[in-house]
Amino acid sequence: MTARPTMPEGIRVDHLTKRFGAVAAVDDVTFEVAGGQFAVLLGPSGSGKTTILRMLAGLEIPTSGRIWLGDVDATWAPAYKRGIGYIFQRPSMFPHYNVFENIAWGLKLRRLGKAATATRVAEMLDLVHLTGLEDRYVTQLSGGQAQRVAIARALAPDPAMLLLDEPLSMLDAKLRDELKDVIAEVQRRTNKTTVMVTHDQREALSLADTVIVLDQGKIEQMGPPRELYRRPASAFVADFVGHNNFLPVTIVGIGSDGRLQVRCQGQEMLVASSDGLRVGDEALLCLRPDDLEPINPSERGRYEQVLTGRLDRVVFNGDMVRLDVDLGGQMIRVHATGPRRFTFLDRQPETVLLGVGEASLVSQS
Amino acid sequence: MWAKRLAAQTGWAMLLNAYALLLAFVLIYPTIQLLIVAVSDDIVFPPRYFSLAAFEDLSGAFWDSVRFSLLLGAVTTAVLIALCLPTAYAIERFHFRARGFLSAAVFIPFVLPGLGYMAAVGTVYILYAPDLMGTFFGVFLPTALFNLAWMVRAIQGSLATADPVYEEAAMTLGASRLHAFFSITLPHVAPGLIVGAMIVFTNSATAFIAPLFVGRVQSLTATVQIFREMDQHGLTPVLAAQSLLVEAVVMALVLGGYFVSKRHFRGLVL
Repeated sequence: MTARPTMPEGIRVDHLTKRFGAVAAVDDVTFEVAGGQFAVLLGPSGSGKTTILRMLAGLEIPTSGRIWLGDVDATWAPAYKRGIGYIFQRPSMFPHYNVFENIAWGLKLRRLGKAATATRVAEMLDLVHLTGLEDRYVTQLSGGQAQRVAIARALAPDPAMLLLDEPLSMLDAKLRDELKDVIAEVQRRTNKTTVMVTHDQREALSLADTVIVLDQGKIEQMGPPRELYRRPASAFVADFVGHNNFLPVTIVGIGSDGRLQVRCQGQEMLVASSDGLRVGDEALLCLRPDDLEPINPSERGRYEQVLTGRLDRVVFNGDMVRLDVDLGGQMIRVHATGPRRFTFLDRQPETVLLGVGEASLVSQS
Repeated sequence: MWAKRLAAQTGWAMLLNAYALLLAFVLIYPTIQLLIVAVSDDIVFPPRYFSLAAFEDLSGAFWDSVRFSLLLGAVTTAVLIALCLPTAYAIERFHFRARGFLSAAVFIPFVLPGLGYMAAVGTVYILYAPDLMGTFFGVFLPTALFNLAWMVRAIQGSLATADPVYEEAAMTLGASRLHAFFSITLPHVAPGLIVGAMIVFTNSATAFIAPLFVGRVQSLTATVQIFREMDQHGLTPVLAAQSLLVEAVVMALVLGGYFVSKRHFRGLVL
């Protein structure tokens, strides 16, 4: 463990491309993760996110482009010289070593003394809440515990940065939530520059400082989770991050406050302006089911904009009731939550008023 | 107790037990008969007189052939481990155009009829390297070729079940690829390696066709030496004793090697 400056080092990826034969798994990707930040690469299967992570780790060689870890051009550096901690999707705990030996493995390579190793392993076990399980082998651990050992093992040599490849995807829902908290806590306490790969938008939104959305090897959008959720740059992002209703609209004018006036299924709305959209353009209006609230006529004043639809179907989901609403021939979904959700369960098809919280526009292409 | 257990068994189970016992008997009986002949003073059944004279009458030529056999077994095993480990690794872990060809090529000496293949090797020796005839290397080379497939396949089988993720994890923890291979992957490959080594050592220490074709007096395995003696004098108690000794020495070394490896790769070798 060499002493490093207290400021954590960042990661810079410059025009990175990886081809497997004729297929570009990663296609001219450029991004930066500031020191100490938690970035999440989010995308569907085959979007190139794991390939990017493996290139950051040195487990895959880029076809072109550059990777900077801190101030060092690490594009061609072998994995063992990069000083990164990597957590794999598949269980990777060495089966012929116990928990202690697994965590101490990287320390042994650095010829850390016996006493210092024991202290460091104890620290790591405490960090991932596994103290007392030093002598266990992988067959004696649950999937979540084994993955926590993998986290402790990756962190033990004090790597400059942490790379996680879908670390939660092989676990059941309850363990996933538990381990997600562990990862968030570990990142906060160690302040390590972290890049995690996931296809789960909830994980991405809850853990990341920056989310990088990928599709077919290219970056679709990157930014803070809230921005991505509220201002998706494309229909793909609007659809992949969270749930969304898409309604074809025409931009008919510009409001006094600069917002765009759109006509949607015979009703008019004002929506925050979006890059490249002009009066006369056709676009898609994105209305999240959670940003629509079924209201009584007396509550109209609470919302600046209200849409009128016809309740078509009610689906009980426990903590949320899903309403399918017909908006002038276009079916949209609305999520009713809170104690009022039960009042919708026995409703017959009827007119329903929907208060609009947030809405965004994306171009149709 | 016994009767109770027997009664609890179904007819099928009893049939299978009987089959297992019969098969074991058929497999082991020739060796028992050989032992009886070795400790008799002639070849009749039941034996009339017991004697250990056969074991006292072992020639220097026999012991020379035993030494040659063990050396051949040890060298072939060691060389094949060194050669087949990277070969199996390349076949299993890397993608290259000739991968399928390499995988099939190791089987060539294995699938061709042994006599034909040895005649071919002998022809090559006569034409290009007549000096190899009768030398240790001359016998070693075809013996190793015959056993290549065993070793490659045994290691490959273990490698296929060793997830590459362990090796990658070791590399991200600071180990070079070579270090990761020896400290993480090799223990996983150990079961296959040990099985391969046991088979190859037994095969090569008791090699027959290769030394028969290209061996000379000073380069004969004990198997060929015994065969030649038997060809001249017929089966005698001395030859039975020699055969038994060869079997015992080879088996002891193979089992000894197995138990040492089992202790070394604790938890990975059955």
